[in-house]
Amino acid sequence: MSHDSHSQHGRGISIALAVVIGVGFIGFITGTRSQDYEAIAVRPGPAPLRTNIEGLRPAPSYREIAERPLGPNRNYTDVVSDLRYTLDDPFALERATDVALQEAVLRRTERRAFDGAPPVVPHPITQGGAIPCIACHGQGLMVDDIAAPVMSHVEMPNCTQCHVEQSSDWMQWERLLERATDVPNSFAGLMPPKRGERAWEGAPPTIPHTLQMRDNCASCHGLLGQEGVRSSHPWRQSCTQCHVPERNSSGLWTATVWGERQESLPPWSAVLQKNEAQ
Amino acid sequence: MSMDRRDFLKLSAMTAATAVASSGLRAQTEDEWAVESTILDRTEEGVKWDKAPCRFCGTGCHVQVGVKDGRVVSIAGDQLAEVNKGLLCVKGYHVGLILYGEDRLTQPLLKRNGEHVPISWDEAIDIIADRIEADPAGFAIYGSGQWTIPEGYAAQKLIKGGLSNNHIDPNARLCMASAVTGFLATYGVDEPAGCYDDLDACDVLILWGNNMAEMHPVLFSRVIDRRARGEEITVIDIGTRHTRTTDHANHHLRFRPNSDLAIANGIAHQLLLNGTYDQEFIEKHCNFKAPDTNNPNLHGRPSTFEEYRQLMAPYTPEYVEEVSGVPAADIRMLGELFGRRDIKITSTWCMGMNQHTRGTAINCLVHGVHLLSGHFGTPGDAPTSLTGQPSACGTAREVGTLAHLLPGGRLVANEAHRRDAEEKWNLPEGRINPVPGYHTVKMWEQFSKPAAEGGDISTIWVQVTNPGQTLPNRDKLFTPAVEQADKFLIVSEVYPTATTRGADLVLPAAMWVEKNGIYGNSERRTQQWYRQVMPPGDARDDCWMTLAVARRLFERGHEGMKDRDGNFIFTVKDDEGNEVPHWNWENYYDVNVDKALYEEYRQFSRMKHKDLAPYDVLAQARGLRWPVVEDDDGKWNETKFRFWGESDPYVAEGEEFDFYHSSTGDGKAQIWFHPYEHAPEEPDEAFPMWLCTGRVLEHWHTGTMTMRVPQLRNAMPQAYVEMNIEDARAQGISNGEIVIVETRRGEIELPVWINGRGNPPSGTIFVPFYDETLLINNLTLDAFDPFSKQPDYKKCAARVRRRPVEQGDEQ
Repeated sequence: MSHDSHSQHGRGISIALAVVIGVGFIGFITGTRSQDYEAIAVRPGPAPLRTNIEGLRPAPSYREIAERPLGPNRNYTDVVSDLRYTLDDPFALERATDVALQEAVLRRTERRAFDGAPPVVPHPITQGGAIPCIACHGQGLMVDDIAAPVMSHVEMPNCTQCHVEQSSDWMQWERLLERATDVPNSFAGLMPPKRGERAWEGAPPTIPHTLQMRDNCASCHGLLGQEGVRSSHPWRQSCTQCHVPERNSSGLWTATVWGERQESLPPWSAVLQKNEAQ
Repeated sequence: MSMDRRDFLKLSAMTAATAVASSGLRAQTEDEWAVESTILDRTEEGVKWDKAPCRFCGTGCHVQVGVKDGRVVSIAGDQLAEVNKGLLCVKGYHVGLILYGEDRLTQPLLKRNGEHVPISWDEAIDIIADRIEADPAGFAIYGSGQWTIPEGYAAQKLIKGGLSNNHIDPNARLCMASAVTGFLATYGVDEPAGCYDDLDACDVLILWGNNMAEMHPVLFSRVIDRRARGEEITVIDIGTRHTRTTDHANHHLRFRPNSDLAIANGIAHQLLLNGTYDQEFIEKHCNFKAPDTNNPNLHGRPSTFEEYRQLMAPYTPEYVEEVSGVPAADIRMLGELFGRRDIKITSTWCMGMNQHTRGTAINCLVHGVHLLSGHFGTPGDAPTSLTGQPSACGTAREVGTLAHLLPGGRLVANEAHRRDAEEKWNLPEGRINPVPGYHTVKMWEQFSKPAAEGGDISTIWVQVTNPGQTLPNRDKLFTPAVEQADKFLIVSEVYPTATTRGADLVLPAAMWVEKNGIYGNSERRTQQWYRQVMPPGDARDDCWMTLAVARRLFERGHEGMKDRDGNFIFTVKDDEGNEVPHWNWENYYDVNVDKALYEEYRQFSRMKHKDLAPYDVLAQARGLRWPVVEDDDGKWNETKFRFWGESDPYVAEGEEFDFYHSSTGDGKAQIWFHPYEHAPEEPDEAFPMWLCTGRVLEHWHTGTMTMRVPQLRNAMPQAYVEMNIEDARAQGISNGEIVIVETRRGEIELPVWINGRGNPPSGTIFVPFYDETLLINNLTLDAFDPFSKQPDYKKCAARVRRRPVEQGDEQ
């Protein structure tokens, strides 16, 4: 750098050191706690869910997710010089490929009974209240390729009201489980939508999903988001300036939908006939 | 890990793809993406959305139900619903899955030689009619706060207007009967004056034995979410163990079971001592009452402010601390809060105060401290009971499906009320029996007792509930009847349960959006929905079953099924005035029978000023809070705050408050004194621990529905016993160890959870009741409140034992 100076140089070093120490610390902490998850998934899961409807995929059970550990911690090292900070260059991001999008979408379905259901918590919850959740999910963090997503509705601190853990690791459930009800369920939920629509190549795509409970687009589309749904321009913060919800994508978005839909409904007798015919 | 993330994703994607479309994940190009779109279907295609109240608790959230190809495929919180404003809890989000457990009951089953064998609906209806004809006085219906309003109304009319024996009681007796008696004793009329809007306006929320974070999570969020908006809310958790609610509370006042009465009296004592009671409010709007020890009755005896002050005198903070274990400083803190005029205080409670042998008393005392301090009636100042069932208010309380009630707050023992009901039902005078029927515990006692020993209930028809799991002291109240040949148990159900297993006749029922329905939630809100999918197999509406049995009796010439003019008591006519044969299933939906029954019932709602909105108005709303009164422009307006002049249309112009159903007839509410007393069974040397039972977030009541939702079952798969670490250590018990929990009534093996979902203090254990394989109600006490007849599931004496060594070794 041509305009380098001693003070700037010194600041650069201290920032770099801070980053290195910070990343090292995270690596150390996560490295020390990565092993326990292998032992959790001892209980056999429920029978696989059946799919009865063409075009719909059954939601996976939380138990199936339990069998997938949080992942190895390949980045763990105690050699400071080996530590790398591998965040992608935001300016080099490109529009996601269809394959990557599809992968991201399928991965989402693993933790939801249907598109729109609150995702399950894939790790044990051992502390009460919102603070332990916010510790990671408040700002979000990423270790290896495991991301703790940013909360998309930060004003709601009663996290466990909607997000339930899979059977936690505090009890060896299998001791009594042969007695428990374990009835298969044939529910087949909706899958996530495909891409939004573009008016022309190069036009900003519409938002193909509901915005309900999604106040922070960066939760999924930010730098911690999965490759297929990550924004190619994360430095732009006012998403809905260019991307608007698809008015017809769902019956849930605007305050007038219900009334309009009532008018568009067939009369009661016709609804009955349709039902009877089924 | 041998598989990296990308491999895993590809594999899982491939599995999904092959499962549905039998083609692997090959999509690499835009063209092939189109093929794959059969898997990644877009939400809007073919999905129809409609409204419905959630099937579970009494909060009454509205959900939007997404239906595709005749099946529920999606659920969303209804953003237009005032109750939940788009938010649900984890049960609500998964409510659509409750329809699809693969063991749904789909045909009527009759027990023959100990086995359930399929029979036709025609046979089933005949069998029920036979049982009624054989012993009309010994036929009872055990119903539910999950009954829709028309279902409960039909059963009510069948028993009281048709069979004239009054033996109908709902499971709500186990749930909110003490709240009812508390409201009646205080205001002379049932149900809360306030509503959920109080939660938006209060500065202090006091939870009386109420784990709101798990039991009414959407309401709890409605309060604590305000903190995220910068508002200051003080949440005070008065409870017997540390729960998820405690995690969010500013103060946790942990009390010794049954001593909540002392705490309430301690608050009153502070208000009187400091002179911070609201003198103007009590002079204008309150009388004083005390229990009549010579003649115990719901309305007690008149008292005076001076006597009230004397009776409260012993409840000093120090005495209350001694009795309850709550520090005197915290009692003073409560007293100071109630003494302040510049803050708004809302109290909520549910089973903690209701499932209580002093349930009526503690309900009255909490109303009392709100009245005494003037923290009553305006937005944010309210004592509000919450209900556990979606229509405990609507169907049990308002329709009056209890043994002593007629619809709309009328009493069977009141002659004028009987005449009025007979008039509205067009029945001959004297048809309604003036003797109240059996309340729940009595009904099951009489059913379980052999006929030779005076057990005069021979048949019970259970609808929409699971007494085989929820009755206290099951081995006394439920099991014996199942084993007697001359007793006959009929159960309408959606899944096999502890009750259907004991049933002689099982009737497969339609549930939730498989039928039309109307519920009434905790805040007086009446909510309507339409059928959106068809029930499986031969499952049918509970209401249809009741009407079909009534019709069969009518056809056999049963006099009770005829009105004054000899017509069928459940006559429904179409728009042209022709009678519709709704008792034939194929004709049941020819007209909207729900609407016909509801409109008939609606005329009962005026006497107690609980005016209900017309059906067609309800159909356009996300529920409306009664009284719903039509204004001059033909608009139907709901009422948020009852008895308050600015909100309640039945309070005269210019009046600030009017308790217009006052039991003293002077427009005043009653402030009660009740003493603290010991519980009927307390820990002793042999059984040194308190046993408390209750629910968990993931499961609703007996788990019949939620245990069939994989996401909920896996999150909370079985019952356990919560134990304090000190108690466990003293016995050498480790976390996860299976122990024997024992009371004087039975024992059960449960794994121990230390520092778990909840954390009881030393000397207390907690067991959830949802698990049908681990029935804690074999252990609970059947002692009940003398006025409400509601049993106490929250406290009895228990002990925990380690299992014998050799058994432990087999593990």
